[in-house]
Amino acid sequence: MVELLESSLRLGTPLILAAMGGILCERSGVATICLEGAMLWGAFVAAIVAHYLHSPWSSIVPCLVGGALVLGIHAFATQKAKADHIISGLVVNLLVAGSTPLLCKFLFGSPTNSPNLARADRFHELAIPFLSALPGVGFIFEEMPLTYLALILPFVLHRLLFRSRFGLRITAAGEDPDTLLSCGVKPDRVRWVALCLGGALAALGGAFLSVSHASQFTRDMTSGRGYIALTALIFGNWRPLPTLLSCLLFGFADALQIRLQSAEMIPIQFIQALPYLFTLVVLVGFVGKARPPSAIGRVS
Amino acid sequence: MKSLAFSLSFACTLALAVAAAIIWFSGESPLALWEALRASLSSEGLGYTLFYATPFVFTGLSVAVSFHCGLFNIGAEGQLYMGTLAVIATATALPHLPPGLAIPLGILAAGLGGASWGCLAGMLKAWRGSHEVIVTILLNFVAYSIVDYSILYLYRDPVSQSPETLKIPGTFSLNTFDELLSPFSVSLFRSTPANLSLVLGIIVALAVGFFLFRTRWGFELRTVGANARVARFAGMNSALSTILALSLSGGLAGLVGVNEVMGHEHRFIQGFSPGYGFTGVAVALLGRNHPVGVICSALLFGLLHNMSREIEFATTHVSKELSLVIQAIIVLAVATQPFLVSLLKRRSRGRAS
Amino acid sequence: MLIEFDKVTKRFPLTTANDSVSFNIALNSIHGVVGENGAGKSTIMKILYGMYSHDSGEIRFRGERVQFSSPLDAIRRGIGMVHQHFMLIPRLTVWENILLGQEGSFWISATERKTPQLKPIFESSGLGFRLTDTVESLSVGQRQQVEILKLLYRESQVLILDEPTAVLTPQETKDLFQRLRQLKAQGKTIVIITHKIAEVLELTDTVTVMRQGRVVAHAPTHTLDAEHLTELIIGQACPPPHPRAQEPPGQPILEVQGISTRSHRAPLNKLKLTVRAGEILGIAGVSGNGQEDLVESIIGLCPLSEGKVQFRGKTMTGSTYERLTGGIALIPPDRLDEAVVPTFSVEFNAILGLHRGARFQKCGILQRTAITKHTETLISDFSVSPPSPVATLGTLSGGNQQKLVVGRALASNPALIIAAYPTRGVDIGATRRIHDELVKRRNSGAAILLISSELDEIMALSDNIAVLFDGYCAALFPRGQATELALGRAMVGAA
Repeated sequence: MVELLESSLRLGTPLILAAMGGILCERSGVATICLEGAMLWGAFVAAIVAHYLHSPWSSIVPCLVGGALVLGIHAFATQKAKADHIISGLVVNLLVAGSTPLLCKFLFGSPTNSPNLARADRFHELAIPFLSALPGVGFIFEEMPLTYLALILPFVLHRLLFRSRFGLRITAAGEDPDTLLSCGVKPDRVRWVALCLGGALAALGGAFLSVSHASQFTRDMTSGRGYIALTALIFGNWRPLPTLLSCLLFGFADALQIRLQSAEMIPIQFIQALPYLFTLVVLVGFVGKARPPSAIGRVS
Repeated sequence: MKSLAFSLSFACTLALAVAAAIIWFSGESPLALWEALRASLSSEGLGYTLFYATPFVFTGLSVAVSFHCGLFNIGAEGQLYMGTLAVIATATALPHLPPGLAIPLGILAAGLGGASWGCLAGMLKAWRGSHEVIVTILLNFVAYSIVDYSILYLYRDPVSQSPETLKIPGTFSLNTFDELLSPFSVSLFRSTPANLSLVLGIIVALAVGFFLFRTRWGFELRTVGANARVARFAGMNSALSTILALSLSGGLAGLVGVNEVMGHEHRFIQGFSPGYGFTGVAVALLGRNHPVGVICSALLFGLLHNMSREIEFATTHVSKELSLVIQAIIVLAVATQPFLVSLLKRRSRGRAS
Repeated sequence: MLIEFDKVTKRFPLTTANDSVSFNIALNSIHGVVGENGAGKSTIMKILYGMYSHDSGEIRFRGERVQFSSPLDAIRRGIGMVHQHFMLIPRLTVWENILLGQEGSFWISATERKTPQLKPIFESSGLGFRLTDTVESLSVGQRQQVEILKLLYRESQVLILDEPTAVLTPQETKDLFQRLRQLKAQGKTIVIITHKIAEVLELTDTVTVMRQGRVVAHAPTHTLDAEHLTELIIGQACPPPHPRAQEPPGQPILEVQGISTRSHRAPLNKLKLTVRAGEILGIAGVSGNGQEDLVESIIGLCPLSEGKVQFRGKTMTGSTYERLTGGIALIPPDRLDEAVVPTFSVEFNAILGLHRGARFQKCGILQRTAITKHTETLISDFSVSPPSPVATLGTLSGGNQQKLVVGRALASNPALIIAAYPTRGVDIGATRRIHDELVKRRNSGAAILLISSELDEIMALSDNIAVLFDGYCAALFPRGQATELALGRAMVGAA
């Protein structure tokens, strides 16, 4: 059981990071289905930087910048060029899905994956002294560095969103940009900042996949996790702390899926569909009372 | 129509420029682009271009219909697989039908297979208010699982090394253009897989246009798409229109199975679609969601797809995913066209003054 | 002079909103800018506030030529504006709304902090709400107070209020005027944009009258009287309204029998109403007291939790479509969100809701010639301009769109007409045309349920007036016995 929980935490990590980024973007009023693209790009950038510089830590900054750039395209299209948010999001996803194999083939000769990272080039568990020895909950303190970040981040974001100027303006931009403008703050500027920050976080979620969870970049390795993160944040009512819980829940579904695969009772194809089915059921069955930001997706 | 022609040429110019830049950046000669274009328009290449354009007609129409109802159907990919699976299931279950019955039945099965998957998304949207973009994307993954399972466990060709089904009975196959023209000893498309499905696509496009703009149901669907509240105040059932739109959309996507199975491979090869469903969004958008526009842009995307394959063959560093990037650029250009045009105008006005 | 407008002109693609407008506003005064809808009074103030830029002319503020490029500039110079549609974010608290854009430090405390700017207001009178309340929990009148607090927090010296009383009850209006006089006493300058003559005479020191984008009069208020002012605003003596037939009302057509709803908006609470043939029943009330639910329950869009609605003696159970084609016509409350599709042609809009009729479709196929013919009839009957059935509806002015909506609703010769805010955002010519048409229908025996936020409209047209408060009928007045004061008291539940 502890193993399953630990596995949920680990599989929930990329979801938490991406969902927190998504919360920033969506609360500012921009529909962000390109969370998927930002994650995939983050996974790609992190893998190649770690490959060339031989250190996982060196991949963090390029990955953050990369994610910010990817959602910067989204910000440009939706805020400057007034494009539809969904269409722009699809464009970003398509752009990343297409350019990562192109670059992979250009750099490594194969469009499907990047070379395997050596052990030293990846993140490893970082046990916190004393705490990791605690009985029962010790496993929480013997995790990947990014997992610690994912556990702290929601609390930071909570404080930022509900107790700071930055958070107030983001919420206002997502609720009623005209009112924000009438108060002398340009909503598109607020959204630019929110999107770039959000993109950086989502990319970090992708980085976890390629340099922490796995040891290389493979084509479409996010396989819908961006959409699952999006569902998680909707399920969490666009608030960081409930979203943390829902991400862990989705992580659990994923962990269960992997566990069941080895059981060989049910055809593997159906087990693999489990996280998606689970997401669907949550979305359809339990998300009803959620109240999205009033101005989300509206093109001004 | 003028604006359609403008955006087509505008998007293409931009896309070609980007493609040339990418190829050049990869250390290859951008002339490869020109070679690919020539190859794609040769008699053999044209056949392949038309063959690739056919699924784009169906998925483009699929997305366009959902657009008219204010919905984004990102699930065309899953729906087209479900449609294909339905063709295989029908053909396997009824192997002894005469062609006169088998072909219409196969087409119907493809449509219904896709429609069922679209209908599911429609019902979830209409009755539970779940966001159709996320629902259809998740349903894609579920569809992949069902299809993979069916190919591997229910209909698998035991002899074949690769994951694919047994061939369907010949009565279910549609003629290729090459076969049709052979009695006249004309070989326009030199044994390419371009087949009658394209004709079906054009007929279906016209039917969709008639449905949307000349019938009461199309009118209701478009009203719901424009403003569901207005529709409700006009006594329309917006839930029903939503379900209808996504079912229809799924059905259109399902018809891709006709081209793939009945027109070309005669079997279901796992993962045959290089993202036809997702490209449908680009096709619909470039075609301004109008059936005629969709046919034009589908032909263009067919050409693009064929060109990127040619480029992959001809070069060592460029992979066929180039076409995804180009698609993205085209969609971006169309979606931001008003902005880009105003930017160009301002630039030229600035120069003039 | 504090503010001087000198030959300010503003053109929009279709109209000239301000044509060489010149007038002055004195320091520490209450100045009224009056005129009909579309006279250009809001536009000139939005230019001052930096929301629009003018095409020619100049504006001087404290003697210095200014052109604010955004409201932010105006706010910095001490000019604040309360818009007709409040610029508040319902989900945030009062405090957060006040703070927005002027937060000061990065971290914000959620606790109430009474700043010096707000002190006078808090001390002088009870506000009835706390800074930690969310705005969505406040009444319309309280929201307006929040708007004023916002301006005071930003230390505005000039307060512009656009139609501030449009959404208020008479009592709330009185309170507002009280507050404005107080603010004047504290040295503020106040500009109020309105079309209500009584308010101008009661409140203002000087008044500028605008008509069709021009200033037609500028004078101290005490030199004007109501009649003179009316003439200036309208530009001519008022034509007599359509004569009312004096027959007693007939059979009950619509009987609302104790209905309640459970919507998330203002629900209905055991509401009882009867509308008879040949009668106009006016529904007065502050918006948000159940008007939407009333309309939607009659046409079957809002489920009832108790009670029933009878139409011509029979309980209605059918779908919205059956009701709307079975003798009930609807002019929906919100034109752009409920009645028309601006991106469709006039033709398609003209058959919205009628499109299933045998005239317009056969076996599901739309009959283009019949549709065009029907549209042309509507256009000529209601003098819709431009008179083209294929024009995109969005290119028509609000008044012309509304005439089409009214014409469409009345085309089927209904026994019951639900006219919800039939003249909202409509110019004076179209308003008169719509009023005359309603009276004509009443005279020929239709039952009309008229819902409006304009007391003048209700009092001019109705045979009986019901006051809707908190989802029930708080009072019922026969024609002639309703005074503004009595209605106002009933509207806040004080009857």
